[in-house]
Amino acid sequence: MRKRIDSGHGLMLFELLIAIGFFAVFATIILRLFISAQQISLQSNNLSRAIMAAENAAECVKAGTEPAVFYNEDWVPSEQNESAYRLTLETVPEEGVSTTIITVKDKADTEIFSLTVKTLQEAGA
Amino acid sequence: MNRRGIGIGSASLILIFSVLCLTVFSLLTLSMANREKELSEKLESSVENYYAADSAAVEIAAEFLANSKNGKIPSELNGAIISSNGECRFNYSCTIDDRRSIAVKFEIKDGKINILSWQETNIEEWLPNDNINVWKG
Repeated sequence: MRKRIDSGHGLMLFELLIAIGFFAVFATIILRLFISAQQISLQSNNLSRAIMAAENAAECVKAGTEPAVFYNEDWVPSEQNESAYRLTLETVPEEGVSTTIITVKDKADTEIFSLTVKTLQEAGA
Repeated sequence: MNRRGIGIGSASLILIFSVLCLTVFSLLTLSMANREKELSEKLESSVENYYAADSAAVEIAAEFLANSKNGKIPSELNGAIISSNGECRFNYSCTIDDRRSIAVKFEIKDGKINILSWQETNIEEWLPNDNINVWKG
């Protein structure tokens, strides 16, 4: 009787060990899927926010006002020392038309989004 | 069986169930992230197309102004047809994509361009969906 109980416990422990092993293998694969999903989500969120920031800056350039240049981690306009993202505006004046290249970059100076805007230099309204 | 508490095979069952749940959740998360990415890329191309058309419209206006200063009134510039509706008022449109365009109305006064309207319009005719099957009692 004792022998049977012991063998049952042994079998259960063996099964548990195998289950934990399998779970570890599957969990590694699944965790990688979760991490890649999070990275994709983060990238697309940053791209959407960068597009909005660039659009905002483009409309400011067209209206002749100063756009927000520095943004914090949550894409809220901030001071330079708190910024995680920044906009660079490069203006090339040509005859009749002024071209502004707006580039949104992150802390590592990697370009997220770029937009070219042209404005009339001589407009009545 | 009762004396031992958990029987043989229950660990495997729990493993199968938990792995299945985690796999389904991870695949759902991944597909949602991919959809978000697609949406962002669509937004990117839409904004790029809009500002490309906007830039083309600005170039046309600048070129028209330069021509008008030389006494010329062109009827076509950079592929855009410029139509006049009298009193030195003109209009033209630049295509953004197959569904939208930028319609510009302007006038030339004292050698200066005065933009009257600069708006995004739909090229496609709006077809209201009036054939929804609703319960009429």
